[in-house]
Amino acid sequence: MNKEDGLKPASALNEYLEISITIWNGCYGIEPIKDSLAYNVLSSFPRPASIKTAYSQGDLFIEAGADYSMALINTLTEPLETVARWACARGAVESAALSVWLFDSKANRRQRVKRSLALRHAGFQEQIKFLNAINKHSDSQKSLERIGEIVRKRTELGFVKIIYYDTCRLLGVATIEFP
Amino acid sequence: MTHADYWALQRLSFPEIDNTRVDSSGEERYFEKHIEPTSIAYLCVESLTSLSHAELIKCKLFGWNRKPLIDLYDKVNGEISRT
Repeated sequence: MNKEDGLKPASALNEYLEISITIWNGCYGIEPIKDSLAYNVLSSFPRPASIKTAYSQGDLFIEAGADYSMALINTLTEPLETVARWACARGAVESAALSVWLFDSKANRRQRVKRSLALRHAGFQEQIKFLNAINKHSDSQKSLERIGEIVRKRTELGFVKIIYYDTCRLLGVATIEFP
Repeated sequence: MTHADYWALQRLSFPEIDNTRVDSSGEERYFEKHIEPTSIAYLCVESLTSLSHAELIKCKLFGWNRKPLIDLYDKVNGEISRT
């Protein structure tokens, strides 16, 4: 494989990103079509906002995956970046995996909400570490309160445990539970 | 690589080069910034497959027509596979 051949995959990936945007804008909307699984779940869950939050998180991860992919392409054009491209690809894979986890059609409505809550819970835990590290202790207290809200919401919805995702495992779909 | 493990950085991005190119005595070891073309294909396929999979899973859940995205994925994946 010569250098020119090596750059063709980047060009192909760029083509996918550009055309898929056109497809998304032209073929799909925001709401699920009537009688789809997503529609039925939304209309039957006692707290639709929790389902919508899960969908919203999944959408953001798709956007993040596309963004990382664009960054990957940039690292493959002159001047070539030999290290950063690996981090870009990892970000794309991990973001997409979390989106798959949230949009998984095999997950029932309760599982989907549990996954959404777990992500938020884990996110706030990370946020607290970050805020404490930069001496924003009052803000970290707010994050702690948000965790309390998530736990209360979990109890209201009748979940004994929520599922925590493990990003250390590639694809982020391995699950463990915590009380 | 993403955690800056030294062996990974060196093996994947800074391979050792023929030291006689820069040092006629051949006593020192030298490394050069380098991209292996096959690794580019690998990274692009991983990103493409992951992203398109997430998009298709959402389309399935929302009841949208997946064919345009599947056709596009097959075309692009084929282009990468031929390199």
